[in-house]
Amino acid sequence: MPTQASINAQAQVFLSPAELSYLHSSLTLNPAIRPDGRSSTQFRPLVAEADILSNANGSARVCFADGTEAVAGVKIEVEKTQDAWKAADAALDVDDGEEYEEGRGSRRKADLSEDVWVETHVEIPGYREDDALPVFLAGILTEALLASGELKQRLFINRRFHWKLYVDILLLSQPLSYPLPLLSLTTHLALLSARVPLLISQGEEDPLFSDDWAAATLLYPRTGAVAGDKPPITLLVVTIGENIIFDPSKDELAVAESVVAVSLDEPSISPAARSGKQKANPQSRRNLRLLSLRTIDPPSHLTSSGVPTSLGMETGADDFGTAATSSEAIVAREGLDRGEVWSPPRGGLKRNMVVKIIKECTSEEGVGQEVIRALAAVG
Amino acid sequence: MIDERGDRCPGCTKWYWYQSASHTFTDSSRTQSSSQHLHSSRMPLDTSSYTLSQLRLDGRRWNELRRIHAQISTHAAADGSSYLEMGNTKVVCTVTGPAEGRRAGGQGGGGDVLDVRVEIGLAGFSGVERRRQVRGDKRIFEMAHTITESLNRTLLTNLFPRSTLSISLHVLSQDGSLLAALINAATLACVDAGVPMKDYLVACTAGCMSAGAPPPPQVKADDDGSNDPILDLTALEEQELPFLTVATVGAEDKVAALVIESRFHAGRLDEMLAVGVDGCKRVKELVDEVMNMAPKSRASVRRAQLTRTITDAFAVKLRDLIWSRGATATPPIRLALVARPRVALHCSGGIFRLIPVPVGGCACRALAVGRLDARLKGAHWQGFGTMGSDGRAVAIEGGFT
Amino acid sequence: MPIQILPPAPAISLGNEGAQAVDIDDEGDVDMGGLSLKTALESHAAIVTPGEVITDDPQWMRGHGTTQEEGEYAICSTLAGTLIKTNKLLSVAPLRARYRPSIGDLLVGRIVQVQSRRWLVDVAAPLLAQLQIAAINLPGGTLRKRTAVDELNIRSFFSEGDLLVAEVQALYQDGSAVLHTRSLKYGKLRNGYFMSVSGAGGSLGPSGGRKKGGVVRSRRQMFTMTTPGAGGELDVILGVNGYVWIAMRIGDTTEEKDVGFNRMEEVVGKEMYSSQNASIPAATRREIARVAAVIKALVEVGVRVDEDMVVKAYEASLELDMDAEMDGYGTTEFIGGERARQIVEIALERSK
Repeated sequence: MPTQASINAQAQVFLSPAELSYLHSSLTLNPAIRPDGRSSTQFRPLVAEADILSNANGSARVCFADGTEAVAGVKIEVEKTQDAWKAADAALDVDDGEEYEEGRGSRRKADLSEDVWVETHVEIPGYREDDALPVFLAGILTEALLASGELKQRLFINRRFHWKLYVDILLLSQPLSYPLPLLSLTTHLALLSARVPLLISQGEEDPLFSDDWAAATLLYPRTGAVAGDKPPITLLVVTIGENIIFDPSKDELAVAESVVAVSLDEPSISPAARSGKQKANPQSRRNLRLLSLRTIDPPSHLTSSGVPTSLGMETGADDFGTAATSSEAIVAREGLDRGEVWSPPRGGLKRNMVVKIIKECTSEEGVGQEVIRALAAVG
Repeated sequence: MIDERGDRCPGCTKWYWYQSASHTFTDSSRTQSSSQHLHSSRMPLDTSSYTLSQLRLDGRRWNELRRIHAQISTHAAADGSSYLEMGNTKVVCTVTGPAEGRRAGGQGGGGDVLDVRVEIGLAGFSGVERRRQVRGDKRIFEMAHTITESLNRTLLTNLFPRSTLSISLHVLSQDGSLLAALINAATLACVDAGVPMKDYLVACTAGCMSAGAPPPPQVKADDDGSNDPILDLTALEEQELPFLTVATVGAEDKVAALVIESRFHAGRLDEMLAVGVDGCKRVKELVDEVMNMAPKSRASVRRAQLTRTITDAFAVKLRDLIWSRGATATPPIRLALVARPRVALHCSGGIFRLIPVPVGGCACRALAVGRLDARLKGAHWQGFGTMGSDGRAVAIEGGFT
Repeated sequence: MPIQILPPAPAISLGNEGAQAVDIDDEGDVDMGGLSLKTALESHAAIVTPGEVITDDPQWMRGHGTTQEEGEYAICSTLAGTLIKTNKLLSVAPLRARYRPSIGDLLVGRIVQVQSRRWLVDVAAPLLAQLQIAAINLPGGTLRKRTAVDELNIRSFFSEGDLLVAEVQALYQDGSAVLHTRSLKYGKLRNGYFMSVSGAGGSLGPSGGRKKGGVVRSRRQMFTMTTPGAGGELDVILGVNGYVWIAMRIGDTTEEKDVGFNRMEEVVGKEMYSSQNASIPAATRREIARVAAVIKALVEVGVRVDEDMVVKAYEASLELDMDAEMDGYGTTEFIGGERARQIVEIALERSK
């Protein structure tokens, strides 16, 4: 039985055509005038805290300025590695002993099984588990996590066991605007604060861990040889006319011409730089790495268009003669220039806009770096 | 006897911190899933210490509540919201409404009373092991139904015909008394939303130490208290002991809901119920204080709660303990009193350290207490205490052997 | 900077925050920092909580937010709020609750449902309000009975999602409102921006639940503001239900005095139900954004929102921007956090 929450959640964004037209024309100006006066790359202030739950390996809570809130918890549990690995090796007749003594480099064959080492689950009030939105969001987040490939190395214990990473994200309020950036930032913070118990056993014996929680290591270490690896973030970018807008509010999403989810992460410091004489300055900014770019159907497609005054029936209600005939009405409606009357945008994302978006997100001084720096300073 | 590193479990290579001679605890929840280890969480609850010290595993007496921390209006965007912690059970509640459904006629809200709808979500990371919430989990459904029915009786539903009140509960961490915490959080959120109600609906759990035996006909002189009912159970206790959840309306004895999921002798019901109702009264007082406080300090009643319950439980502070033994060392850093899970005192190299003992999966940081005089170096200390996760508070009882 | 991450507001504990150094005296009692629990309770004795008995005296009558058992004299509160005594009537005003309409309120509402002869309007109240087709002005000011054609063309007047400003004409028994737009001031809204200071999407601020802020009932809910430079004039409508509308004022030839109903067709335009915006210059849009931000700032800090405060806060924000420009910082259009507090403080000082 659908609950009231789900009924509310599925209701569309209700805005009148006049409002939509006003917002759209404000945002197509150059520079864009956003309804709250922000610049196009400015985020709304948000409240974030990490490591709030003691029963989870890592946790974080982020509240956006419009009241939406999300809590993410990371649990890491030991799991026995699938036997498919051994079977594949047996089939290929590889000398097992040496390969695995060497380290992690030669695990190409088992790449398939490693993708199940990370499981993400998103819970949104009012949606069932198998509804499209939670499944899609969980998919995007998992894909971003696995894309870099380094996470799997961290989760490796030995040949028979590995860590399984469970990320559970709870959205604590109704999704007013598309919840993807909120969930992504919360996951990023939770992963940054996630700790793994210290391994005492060695080699291939059954894994044994220290009881002392203070000795637990961070999953994404902040200092040391492997510093610089950070979990990915996903930003929501909106294009309207020739403008690109970050952190769209509910109103801006409703008039967007296209909505794009961009997943980024910081590339790791290359081994040469690590071992080289010059220490790579960890504070130096680098270009971010683009992990994925997905378009999301903008809610503006669901709006209905306004009727221009010249075609309206209510004007001249007594005089039906002056109302346009149906063919004239169609010509006028399909015309490109509709002046100040709202019509849902048609068409997709232009190619030059894609380039612009990627450049803005990944450049050294771009928005992506700012967000990652700001998150690193939390907690 | 504790040596410097704790006791070594004969059956394995792991070290344990403990309070009495037998194992009472498992290793930290985070390493628990290693199925290689023989000592998993299915250890029977060790209540042998109870008769000696009248204290439960986390240092409480039989009639003491855990620390309750409550906040309202935690969510700006919701009509009403609350956050409640009962010990380690953490619950967030948001309320939307009363509002009319956006459908003509509507499934709910068509009647002449307020339609209360409750949704409970257990986070995957809430328990000790990660568990995915299964749709159609009967236990969750029953809890939601209990809360809905109890609220229908407490709220003045006739004032909102054709409207719907949506209550959304999220469990961030479970450590026993889950239904009680959910009911308390829902009440707080409804009060925050301005929904009129007859009185507070509060709940808590009660259990008994010995399940099968009927209560003794009269209290014997040498009654060691091993048959006492206990109040506010943790997850470990709930697994082993029979318990019930009771919800009352207001400060009188009006029981709104009673949920029993375990078996015990019928003669025990009376005393467990009495203890539960008494506990509810105290929960109501705490909830009242949260509501009554000045708007700027709607905060936890941590300190108020503690001075009442802790100081009579633990008579001795570390400073006094060391002084009474004739130590000339300067006292350790000042300690405040906060109730949290157990700690064990570890003496090594002249430094006392309080190591938290995870109970039900919680963990906190250790606190270095201070240096002792060389004369006491290597002394064996046995006892237990409580410590806060801010690492600053403790009250300990015990002695040197 | 592009992104600003704030730490969460700490749970303020009873007593001073500097309780990092807690004194333990010899008896082992904790010093509560000078403010004992008892005095804290006493200083806010006016808050009543659900179930609390307010009085036993039979002379009092009970009003909203209270309940009385059958045959008993004791009046108990059902809400958490402040006690209001009006002559012999005791009522409790809740700290936080949904808006309850009362007759004569000026509201901004959004159509959510279109039925055969009426619309259902969302006004942030527990129940949807109703607007009958007989209660609106017809375009052109015609005065006639609504016919079946009008009912068929009901969507040409208001459709789902449209915003309107209306007045509460009457209340039903269950508390739902009946609206009308039978005046020149009311009707469909356009050329502007809508915001909500309550409910989903709007925040009542971190004031801990005490609704100090929010739109208050004042003499003028609809007013005009002049903006400097090329901004022109802005119409601001502060609905009592927390819905706010800020729009560009169309230079009109009509005056705002009452027009007799037999002369309405001279005044009511034919385009009153149009969805077409006029062309709005960029400077006006910026000023509309500024007013919206200023109202949000007022709500965040917890100050009442009425014409006086809005105008003063707006002027304060203009001054701050001019100062910042002269100092060479450049104007940061976004008003949030610290700037919001500064603006509101200046406005409060001026209004004293």
